[in-house]
Amino acid sequence: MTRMTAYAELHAVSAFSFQRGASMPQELVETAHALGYRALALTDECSMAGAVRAHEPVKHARESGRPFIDVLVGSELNFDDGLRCVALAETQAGYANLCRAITQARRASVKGAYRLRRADVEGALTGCSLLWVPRGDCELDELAWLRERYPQNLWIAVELHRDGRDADRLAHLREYAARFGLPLVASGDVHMHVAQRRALQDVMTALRHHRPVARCGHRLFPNAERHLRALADLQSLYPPELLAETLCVAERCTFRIEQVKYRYPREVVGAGHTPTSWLRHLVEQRMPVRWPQGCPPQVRKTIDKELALIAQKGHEPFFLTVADIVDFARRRKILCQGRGSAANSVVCYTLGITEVNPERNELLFERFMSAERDEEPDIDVDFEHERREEVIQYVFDKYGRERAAIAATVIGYRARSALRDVGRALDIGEEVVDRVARSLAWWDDPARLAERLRVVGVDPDTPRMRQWLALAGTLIEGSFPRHLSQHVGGFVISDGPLHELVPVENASMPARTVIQWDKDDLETLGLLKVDVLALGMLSALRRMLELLHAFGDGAIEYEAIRDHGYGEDAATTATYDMVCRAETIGVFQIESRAQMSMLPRLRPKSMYDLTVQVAIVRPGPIQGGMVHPYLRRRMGLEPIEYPKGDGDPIRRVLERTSGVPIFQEQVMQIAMVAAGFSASRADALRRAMAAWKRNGHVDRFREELKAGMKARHYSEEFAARIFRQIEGFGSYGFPESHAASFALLAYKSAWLKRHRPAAFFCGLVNAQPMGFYPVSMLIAEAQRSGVEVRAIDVQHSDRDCRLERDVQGRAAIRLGLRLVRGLSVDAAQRIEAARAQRAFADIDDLARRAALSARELGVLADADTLRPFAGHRFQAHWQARGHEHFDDVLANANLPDEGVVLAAPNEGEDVLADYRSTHLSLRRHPAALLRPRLERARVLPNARLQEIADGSHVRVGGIVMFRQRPGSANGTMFITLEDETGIVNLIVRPPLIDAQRETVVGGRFLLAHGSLQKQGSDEGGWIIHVIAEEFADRSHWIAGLPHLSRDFH
Amino acid sequence: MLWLCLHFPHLPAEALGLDGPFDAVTEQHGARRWLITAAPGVAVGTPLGTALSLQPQLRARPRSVKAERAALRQLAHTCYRYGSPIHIEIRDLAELGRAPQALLWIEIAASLRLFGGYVALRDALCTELAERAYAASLAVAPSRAASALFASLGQPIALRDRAALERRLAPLPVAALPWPRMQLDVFDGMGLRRLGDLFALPRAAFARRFGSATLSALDQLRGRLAEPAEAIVPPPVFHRRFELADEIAQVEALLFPLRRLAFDLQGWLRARDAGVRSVRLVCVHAQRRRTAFTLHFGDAHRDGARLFETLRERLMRAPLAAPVRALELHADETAAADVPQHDLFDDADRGGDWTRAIERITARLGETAVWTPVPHADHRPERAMRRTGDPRDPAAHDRPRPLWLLKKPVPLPVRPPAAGTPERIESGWWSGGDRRRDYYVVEWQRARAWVFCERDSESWFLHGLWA
Repeated sequence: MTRMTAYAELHAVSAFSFQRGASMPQELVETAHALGYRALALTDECSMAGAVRAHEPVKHARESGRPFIDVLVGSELNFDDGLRCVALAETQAGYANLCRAITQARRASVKGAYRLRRADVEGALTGCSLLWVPRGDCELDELAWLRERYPQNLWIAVELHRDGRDADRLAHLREYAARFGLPLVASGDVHMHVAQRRALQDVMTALRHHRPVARCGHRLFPNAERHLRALADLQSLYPPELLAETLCVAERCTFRIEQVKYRYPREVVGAGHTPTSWLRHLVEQRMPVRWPQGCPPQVRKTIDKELALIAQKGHEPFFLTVADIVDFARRRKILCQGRGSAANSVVCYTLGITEVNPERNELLFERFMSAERDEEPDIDVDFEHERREEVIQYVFDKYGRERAAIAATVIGYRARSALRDVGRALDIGEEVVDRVARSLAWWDDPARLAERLRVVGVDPDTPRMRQWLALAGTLIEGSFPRHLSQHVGGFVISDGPLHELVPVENASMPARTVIQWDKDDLETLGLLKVDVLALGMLSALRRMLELLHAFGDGAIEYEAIRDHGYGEDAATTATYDMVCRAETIGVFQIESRAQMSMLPRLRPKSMYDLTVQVAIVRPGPIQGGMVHPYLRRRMGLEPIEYPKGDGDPIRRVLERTSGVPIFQEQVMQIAMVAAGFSASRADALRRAMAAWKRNGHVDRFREELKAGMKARHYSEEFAARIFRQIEGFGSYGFPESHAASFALLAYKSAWLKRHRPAAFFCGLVNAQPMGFYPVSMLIAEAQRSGVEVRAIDVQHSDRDCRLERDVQGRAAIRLGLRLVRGLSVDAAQRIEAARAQRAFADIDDLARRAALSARELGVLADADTLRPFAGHRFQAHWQARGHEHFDDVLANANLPDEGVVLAAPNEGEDVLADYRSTHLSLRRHPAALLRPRLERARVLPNARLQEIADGSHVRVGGIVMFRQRPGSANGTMFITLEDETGIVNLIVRPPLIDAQRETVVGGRFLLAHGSLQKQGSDEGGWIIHVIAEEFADRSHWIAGLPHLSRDFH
Repeated sequence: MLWLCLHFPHLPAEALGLDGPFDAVTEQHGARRWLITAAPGVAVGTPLGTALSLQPQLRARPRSVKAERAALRQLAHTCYRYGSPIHIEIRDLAELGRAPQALLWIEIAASLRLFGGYVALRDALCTELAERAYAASLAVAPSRAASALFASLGQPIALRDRAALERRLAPLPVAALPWPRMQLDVFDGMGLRRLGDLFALPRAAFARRFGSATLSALDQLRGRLAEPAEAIVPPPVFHRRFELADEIAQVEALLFPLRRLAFDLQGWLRARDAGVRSVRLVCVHAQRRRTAFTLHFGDAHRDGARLFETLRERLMRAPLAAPVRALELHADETAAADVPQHDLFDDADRGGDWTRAIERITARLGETAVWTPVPHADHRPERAMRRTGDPRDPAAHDRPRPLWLLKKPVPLPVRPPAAGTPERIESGWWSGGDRRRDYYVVEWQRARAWVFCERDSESWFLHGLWA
């Protein structure tokens, strides 16, 4: 054997060349390294989407001090006339040129496609090495064209794949090389990292051509040679000088993706200022607003410390950019509030970006920014969901489309999409795919796939099914990308044109552009991202305040709704008391069934209690087993102990949460004090937790954590528990600062519910869809709170619900036309406008003046809003239709109509029609109409359950309002039934679900018997559950009622 | 007019030949699919997803309107003996959750006496349908619409006069009408739930609100207004029999009647401007025994001489099985003739000589012995050729392939002198036969051979030879 030749692969596409590549960028890079390649160029088709991921193994190797191969940056460019070449970035400028060319090609086409013309790159690809890839047509013309433009940096790529024509190909390319005076270079056109991915690669080809593999014929590659081949193998195929040439090209390409130079935008700095002085200026200016009595010296010290660190990192423009966006929102009176780790910063608080007062909370600035970490801070800001678009347009206008774009989200393969796509390629019948995918969707664990298949009548042991599952499994487990989509609101803003940093492409929404990198990529490269997020509750709060303002009585400013101390201020006390009784339907974050069942036990009485409450009822703490220890300790049932007694350094970390870690920051701090992690290492742990699906690097920390804790004399069991909690947190745990921000909104909404219930529910209904509860339950709750609710009526209702005065002069809710299903916004506004002139005389008058179509009139009659003219909905329909046929020629003719008097609907018909048209009824609850039948079945009204002893056997019934099967509940399902007196929560164990699957999953009106579980007191509120033992489906009792249940999985 | 209506609730399944209890047929609208035939525990109209969760063993297939039409048309043809005119309709509402209605009407007023009364006619009809394994419900009424309504509701009513009809219609639910759901919802929204409620409304006010077309449809239902529709006509078939004067044992003696039949068919085809693709010749022997030959043509034609030539070749291939008493010629498959439009004269009815040569060879060697190979796009050499090609998928392949490809590769006891870069073929994992082979062209034992090494077992095979 001769000495191994060195080789650099210059042409490799990954799974980010969608429907072509069958390996992830990381797999390619790691395999190339293992095979002893010198370098690998990731050259995805007209894309840089995989470039950052390809860089990750390099970064990890560098962190642990291992030598690693070079990863070059490039792209395969396919022109619309068939010309193909690979462009590799030699320099920063070359990279910028390449990104510009890709951007141009992508922007010239619809989302997901591109159109590249020769004219677009006429001399534009300087600073790149170009490899011409012969494809058999017009070769001479292509080569001549390239040669003329890029004589100094052009190679002829020789790609030999044992297809029976290697010798011919080499010979004729040699001839070209001599004729044009160009060097030949070996390359592999790599589509997969190992030959075993051949089947998956064929599947990708099949998907690209929209036909099953079996009918792809020669569209498939004849063999698996497009993998990363061993050096010896290459040596036997290629002449040595061609292999040597790969190194020459690789040496020219010195650009690495980490060299992407990002600069903050500069226009946010005031004239005559540096960013540092301007930020300080703004902070000073804002301090009196936050601290009218003067800033406490402690806070001032923290501010100075933060400013110094920000200056050291050069992050001022980032803070200034966010402050500018927030300022814009304030000027437009758009409510907004920072969330996430930024709430740990006093500077952010001072600038008005966040609302959590640093004096009252234990903020952890390290979580946000630290001197050691070379990472960008992350500031997320929530805006009213209805007005976020204004903010987005402001950003686009201010920085221009050249410099601002939205981050991408990589949509990866999930069980359903993988089974569907692979199924399509293998020609598995659509029906079977549907059946399997559907049976997975509801709640099953993908690991139990084979079992599920048998249940739905598919044999998982046939070869085809095995291939199907195995290939789909590869896609799922490898987190293969399926396509790029648009991030919810992550903006990237740069000083120069963005398309020199990263390619920009069109989004599916018109007038939106997205970059090819997702938020993890941005984080890896340190690009500034501002999250402009949407929060429905902010819209609802603004609407509530506006309603109060318009109503006159009880108007209050947003900032004035504050916690003045439990027991010190009557309004505050009343608010917390209501929360403790779990009367929180509609209240931000603490309204769900799980939250409500915790409230009477945790009994929050301060902002900090609420912060804990918000954070604790989350999948993270529940899976980590933190909830019950916390409860017991807080109720004094269990002593608070630390592994090393009271002197334990962990005590300082956990004291404020009764010795149980609840927040992300605490997990980090434990890693620091108990396992000796540095702050940046602890943060790396947190990031690994959040991204474990992407790279599976959490495990690296397990041993490190255990070893560190062992060295500090903590028991192994304690270490294991901490690690389990870390895993449980995953991406679900809340940082304390984030929970504190949400707790503020929870308090404000609770205050409004307690003290301004009419405005609260009115605003909430107007901001729908949002939150946990359907409108019917919100309205029922409003009525229970003593608010009069008035029916929709064309003579009185606006589009939105509004406040009217009841007989005692208090606020009552007049339901709005927005609740009428099928009525457009425009029609509702026309009615509002026409009525403002004068009241409607009759249906004809209404139809004419509000320019309503026959359909719109019908919809209004359905909703019983024409009552004042017709008496009842049947007659309203009759009259409405009598109007219609004279829209055209006979528009002004007043033909006589025979008088017909139709019978009025009975109550049941009315209730059903109400629900059908508006999903709620102000008449009696359907269950009230069924009460005699329910009594015969010995079913108790839900309100009576409070009077029954714990453990009794009871029968309950009602309309199914919710089904939930949380991942943290071991397969248990929660079903909420509603009757005319209230709701009852049922706990359904898996055996019962299996036994009565049909009823449990599909029933709309259920009777259940089971045993009552009850905790609490009459004063403090009750937590009541019924553990279901058997169901009876009585959906036919309410046939015609629309499906009301909201099913969560 | 007295209409007997047959409603076939399972026709979508029957037309596809499905008869398992868990077979069901679905209709699709956009992405949504629902059942249009019932299955155990699952009603018609159930969304497919729900149906599958209720009945996991369900096998659902999309419906084929074409197959349903064909089946219904066939049924119509059989029903001629029970009366005429005959109408058929597949009422497709194409609304989510609604099933199509396959309906067949027979006007029986005239044929009742022929059968000796309604009961006898009904029994004969039901027996025939049962034999043919079609499920149907039937009803008789003076209007087609009413008979269909009763049949689709499964009410086996037989009404003769309009007064009785009116009485029986009045209590029926409005929702049972095969009208668009939007129209039905309008009635429902006014509390008009029974047909009687509609009949009671003043006609002018009714038309003003629901349109005169709706009023007419209601009148048709009540038998007050004619229901024009196109009746089914019997299908065109060519079916000729030639009775021979004597029993004939010699093929030569059959040629005259054969020629006569062939030109009869030519005349029949010309009259219809059609061509024939396949014909069936039946020789009738003593004791009603028969010998049948089916002949296919390369193109649809109507050339009597060509027909005769082909039939003659076929008959000459083997001696007659038994003396023949009669000949029958059936045109099994007719189509628009592939005859150029500008040809006017007799010659024009001839196709190309090549086609005719092939037909003669086929007639002599047998139907399966002659075929045309076409390249097929598949990397595996043994699958790179097929008898018929997929015209949509032309295959172009320029690798060297031997003239003679062995049907089965022959294992080689010794390693052949293979050298150089092989042609590597790795393909076919999806159809059970994954091939991973390195092919070489070798000069070996005075032949040019195509050999391969199987990559998994490293054993050698001979796969083809050049001349």
